[in-house]
Amino acid sequence: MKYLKLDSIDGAEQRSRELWEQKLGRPKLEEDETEFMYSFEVSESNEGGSYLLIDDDGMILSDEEKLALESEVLYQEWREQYQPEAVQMEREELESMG
Amino acid sequence: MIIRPSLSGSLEKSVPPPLDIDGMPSPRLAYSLRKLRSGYTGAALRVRRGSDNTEADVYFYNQKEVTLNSMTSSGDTLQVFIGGETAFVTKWYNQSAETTKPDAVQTTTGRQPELISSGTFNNGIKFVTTGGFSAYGDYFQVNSYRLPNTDDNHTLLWMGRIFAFSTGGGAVVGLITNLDNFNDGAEMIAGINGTATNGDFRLAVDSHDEDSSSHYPANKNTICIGSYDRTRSTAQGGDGTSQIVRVNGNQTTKNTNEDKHVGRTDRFRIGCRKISNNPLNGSCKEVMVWESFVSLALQEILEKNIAIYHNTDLTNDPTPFNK
Repeated sequence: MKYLKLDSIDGAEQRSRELWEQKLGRPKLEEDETEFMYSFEVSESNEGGSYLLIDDDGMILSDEEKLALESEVLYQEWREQYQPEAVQMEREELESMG
Repeated sequence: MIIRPSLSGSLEKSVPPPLDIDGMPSPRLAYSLRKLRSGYTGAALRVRRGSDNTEADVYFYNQKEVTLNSMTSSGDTLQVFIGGETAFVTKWYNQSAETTKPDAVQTTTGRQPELISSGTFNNGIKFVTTGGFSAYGDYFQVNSYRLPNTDDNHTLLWMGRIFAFSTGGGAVVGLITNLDNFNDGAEMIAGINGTATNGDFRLAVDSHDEDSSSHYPANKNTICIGSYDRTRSTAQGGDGTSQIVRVNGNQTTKNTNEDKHVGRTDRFRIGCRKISNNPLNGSCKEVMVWESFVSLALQEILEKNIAIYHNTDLTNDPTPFNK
C-alpha cells in the first residue's frame, strides 16, 4: 500500500472521483454505484488535509503524484497527528481483545 | 437442537423464506443471496464486471437464490455476463418490507467484495483483506442509517464464514457494526485470541461486551445472532439476560442495562468496524437487522431455517478452547 497526501480536507475524495472517471473513460452512469477509484482518509480537524490510499500499482496517477507517493510510516505519523482520536481508540480496543 | 449435515443436506433449500415464518417481525435490513421473503420482487445485488467496469443487477434464479444461472439486467445470465472475470458487488439490495429500507453499498473499487473471483462462484460474498488489525479490506456501508436510540433493543444476524483467524496476539474483525466510536454504539464482531484456527464472537452494546462461550473454527458456516432486550436486565425488573449472543445455537447472556448511544448516520458497516478498519477476512451470505428484540423462540426457528438452507452444522460447537 502506498499513500498520496492531498493538502485539502476534501482533496482526496475529489481526486478519487476524478481518477475513477479517468479509468472509465466516460462519466459515471447514474445507475452505477461505483464512484471512487481509491479509498481515502481525512483529518479529524480542519488541518492536515487528506490521504488517498493506493492499493494497486498506481499507474493511473500522474507522474507528479507517483513521485509524491509516501510509505506506511509517514502515513501512520500523519494519522497519529491528525486522527489522534481514532488511533487511540483502535489501540484501546486492540488491548481489550488481546 | 441437533441438525446434522446429512439431514440438512437432504432438506437443503426446502425451507420457506425466513421472513415468511409465522410471527417473524419485519427487519429494517435484510440482505441475502436467497430470497428472504416471497413477496420481494427486486434484484438480489448489483455487480461490477472487472474487465470493463460495466455494472448490472443480478436477480434470483427460480425466484429463489443467486446462482450462475441468474439473469442480469444486461440481458445475459450471470455466467455469461461475467465469464472468467471477477464480479465485484457494488450494492446488496435490501429485501425488507419496510418503507424505509436502505441498501448496502460500496462505491470505492478497491473495497468491493466479490461474488465471483476470476470466474469462480464464491461460497457467499467474499470479503478480501490483506489481514491484520488495521489493514484495509472490503466492506459495505448502509448510508443514512443508524440503529434508533428511542428503543435500545435490537437484533443482529450474520451468517457466513471466517476464513482464518490468522493474526496472532489478538485482533478483531467487524461483522455488523454501528459505532459512533469504539464503546459507543452496537456491533457484532469476531475476535481472535492467539490462535489461527479458532475465534469467538462478541455483541457489544456501548461499552458492554458479551462473548460466545467458546471458540469456533474458521472456514465453517457460522450463524451468529446478537440481541439486546433492555427490559430483561435486573435493573429493569427482568431476569438478567438482556444481552444475548447465540452462535450456531449456543447461547451466552449478560445482565446489561445501557443506552446504545448511536448518533451518526454514516457509520453502519458490514464487514468492518468504525470507518474502514478491522476488515472481515471471510464470506457472508445473510445479514438481517431488527430494531427490536426477536424472541428466543423465533431466533431458534431462524437458526434452523438458515442451518438447513445453508447446510450449517449446528453441532459443530465448540471445541472447548482455553480462552
